[in-house]
Amino acid sequence: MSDRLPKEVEEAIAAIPEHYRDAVRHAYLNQDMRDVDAWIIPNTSEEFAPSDFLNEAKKTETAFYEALTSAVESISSKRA
Amino acid sequence: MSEQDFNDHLDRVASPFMAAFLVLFAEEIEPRYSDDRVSVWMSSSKLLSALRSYLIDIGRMVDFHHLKVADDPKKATYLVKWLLKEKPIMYQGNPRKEHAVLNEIFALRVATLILRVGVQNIPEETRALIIYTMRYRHYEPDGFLVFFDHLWRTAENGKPKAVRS
Repeated sequence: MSDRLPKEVEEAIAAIPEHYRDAVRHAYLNQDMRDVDAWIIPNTSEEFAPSDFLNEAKKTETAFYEALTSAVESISSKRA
Repeated sequence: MSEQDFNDHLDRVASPFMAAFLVLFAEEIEPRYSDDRVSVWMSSSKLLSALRSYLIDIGRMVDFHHLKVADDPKKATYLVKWLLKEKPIMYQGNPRKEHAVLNEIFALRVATLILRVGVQNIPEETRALIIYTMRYRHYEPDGFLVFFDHLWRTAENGKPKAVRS
C-alpha cells in the first residue's frame, strides 16, 4: 500500500495539532479506505465512518459543551 | 484465522475509530481543557486497548444473540463501557474540577454522536446524573443500553438509522 494519502486526508491531518498527526496518519494508512470489507469485522458487521462521525461532531460541538457546563458544576459542588 | 491474523485484523478495524477519536479529542477536548496550568493528552495505547476490547465484546454479543449487526444503542453502550474502563484521557499539573470527569465527558460525547442525539434532549439534572454515575458509580451496560435505546428512538434531531438485524 502506498504511503501517500489522498489530498483531502492530508489536508484534514494538517488541520489537527502536530503531536497527533503521526498517530492519525498511521491509523489511516493501516486500513484501505477504498475497501468496504476493511470496515467490517467478521461476525459483527461493525461499520464505522470517521468522516460522518466528525462531520456530525462539528455541527453539535458548541451545544454539547455548553449543555454540560452546569451539569459538571453541580457534580463538583456535590463532591466538594 | 490465527491469533496473529485476528489481532492484525482487529487493529485494522479499530484504526478508523482510533483516527476519529484522536481527531475528536484534539479538536474538542484539548483546546478546552489544556492550558499553561494543566496539560491534557490522550493515551493512544489506552485508546487502542479500549477499542480492541470493545470490538471483541460487541462481536461476542452479536454472535451470542445471532444478530446481523449491532444497532447504535449497543455500539454506544459498549464503547462507553470500555472508554470508562481504560480512561484514555490523562492530565497533570494544576487541574480544575472538571478535569475529574474528562473521560466521562468524552464518553458521553462519543455516545451522543453514535446515537445522533443532541445532549439538549436530556434534562439538565439527568445530564449531571449520567456523568456522576459514570464517574462515581458502577457503569452497568444493560441499564445504560435501555437508556441509550430510549434516547435513540425518541430523538428529535433525526430518525434512528434503520436496524438491519
